[in-house]
Amino acid sequence: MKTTYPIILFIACWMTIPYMKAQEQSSEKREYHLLVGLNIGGTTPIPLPREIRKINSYQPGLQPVLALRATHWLGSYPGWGITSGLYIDYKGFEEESEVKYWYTNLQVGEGEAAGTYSGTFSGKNKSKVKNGYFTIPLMASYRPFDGWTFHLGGYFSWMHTSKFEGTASDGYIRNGGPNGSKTIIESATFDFSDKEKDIDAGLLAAADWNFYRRLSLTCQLNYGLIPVFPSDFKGVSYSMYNIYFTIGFSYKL
Amino acid sequence: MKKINFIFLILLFLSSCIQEEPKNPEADILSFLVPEWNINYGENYFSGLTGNDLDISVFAAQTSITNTKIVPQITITPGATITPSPTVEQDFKEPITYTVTSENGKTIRRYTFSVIYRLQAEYDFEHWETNQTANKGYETPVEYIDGTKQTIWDSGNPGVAIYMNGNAADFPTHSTTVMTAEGQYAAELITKQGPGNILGIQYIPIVSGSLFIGKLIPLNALNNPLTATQFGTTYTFSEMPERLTGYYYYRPGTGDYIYVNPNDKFSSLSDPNKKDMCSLYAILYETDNDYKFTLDGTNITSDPSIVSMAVLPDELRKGSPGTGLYAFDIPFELKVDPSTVDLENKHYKIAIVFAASYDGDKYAGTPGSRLVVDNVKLIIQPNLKK
Repeated sequence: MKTTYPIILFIACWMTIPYMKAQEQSSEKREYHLLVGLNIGGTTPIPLPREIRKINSYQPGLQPVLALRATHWLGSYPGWGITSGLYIDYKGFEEESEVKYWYTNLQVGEGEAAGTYSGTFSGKNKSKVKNGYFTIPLMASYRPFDGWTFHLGGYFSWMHTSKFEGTASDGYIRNGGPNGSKTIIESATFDFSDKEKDIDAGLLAAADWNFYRRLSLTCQLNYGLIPVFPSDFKGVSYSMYNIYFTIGFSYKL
Repeated sequence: MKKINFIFLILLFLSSCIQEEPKNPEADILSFLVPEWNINYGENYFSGLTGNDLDISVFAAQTSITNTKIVPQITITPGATITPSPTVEQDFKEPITYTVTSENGKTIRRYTFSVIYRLQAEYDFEHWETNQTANKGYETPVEYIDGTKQTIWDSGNPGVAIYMNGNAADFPTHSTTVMTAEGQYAAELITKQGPGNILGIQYIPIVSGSLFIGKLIPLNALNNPLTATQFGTTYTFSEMPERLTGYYYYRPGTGDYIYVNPNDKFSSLSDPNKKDMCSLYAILYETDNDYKFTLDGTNITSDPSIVSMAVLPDELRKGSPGTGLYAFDIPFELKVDPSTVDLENKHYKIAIVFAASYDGDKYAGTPGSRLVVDNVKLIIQPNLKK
């Protein structure tokens, strides 16, 4: 659990207040949308490394997204605007894969005598990921014709909850690498939750289809550009990124 | 419906990203067999080896081998290559080195096999070899007889090295120059604090210094640690062992006795009143024709295959008399009907075991317990021949 709530809430209020005030003055130029949706995707290395041999199962899980988006339409450029707001979004999934010669570096034990295992693992890997973020988007918006709005930009996220845990099973480790001694792993657990970075940032591309009165269908691609683990973390020897689609409904306030 | 399609698309996307399988980086000998000489070293044995330069003592049970030229049966990791070809006859009068190169070409391991006909029975602990893996420089004593190395000793160190980095002295079992009977070195075994929870598999509150004739096979060290210590090697003598002699120094640790909580596998309890004891014994036991049958931590002192035992008496296991090394001389006691013993025709293994904490194999003991042993001898008496 991260403890960045107060800062986030402060920033959120600070960001929202001017919009709220502005709304009173000119409701023509500003639009507010409440977005409710789900994230579907993965926190994944790109491309998948060779060591991942097979994905046995994938579950997107329930990753809710709740967002308040405000779009300011620019009078001088008809159809163009700027969108920002605040998202509370979860990014996660569950997967089971088979890996071969996967290099890892794990903390073993606790306290003074804690050690490190480093070497390769061949076997099954199960991961459960559920990270919660406060996200501030900043996007250029374009409405070429009624009913359709497109957005392109980026986001910046602060993590408020983190979960990245799983098991390694039905395989073996080789201490130090391919010339090390073998040890069978029936089922081992790992928990990297508190190793993840507190921040994330990336690209956003979204489309809103206004299909009924104030209701729109919203699709959004969230493409993380910052690895979720710091570079000195060696539990996973690859950089992993948050790549998620948001699908949901927005309601124009 | 939409969501299901989405998942399908993502799965398809991920699957299409699965790349070509990496080439095998392993360069293992999986088995080394010479049935004619009762030599049978399998995958379990080889799985425990660490490093690229490996010296392996294989014991030939037959004492009367005149023709040392033979074609051993060798199997290796699929995809790897081996030179010289194992189908070519070799003269094992001298150590023979096989080089195995992994399929990906990045791992090259050299296995040097020395066929041993006579077990070294005197152990001066003057020769120690350091593990070559980076940051895991633990030591293991080796013996020489007529200039041929015998790799007969092992310790708990390879198990500790699964999680610990350090130099020789950081590991529970190592050489010492502080206290020796003869020569420059002795073996020092110290019980240390353990790491605790090992990846949710095992809880290890303490690790005991240990040294034994046999092999530590880490293959099952996490699932079933007692089976990791494979005790004993081929007993090559045609006479019974009479006594185990040598020098030892032992002081139990001064803190609490720590053991795994029997009601909660992932915690430990401590007892300030219980005193640690050391283990110091030798066991002769009967094995099968292939020398595959091996006693481990589950049955080393209790199995019906045990023929004869020499065990340091309880009183001496609590601490050695005097301030320095103390000379011990323990007779072997026969555990079976003497008429069933047949050293000429049946097959036997001998194990000598030292541990700084007698229940160290169950991860119980007092950190700081210290055992030093030096100049240990198996006294083999022709007059006891059966």
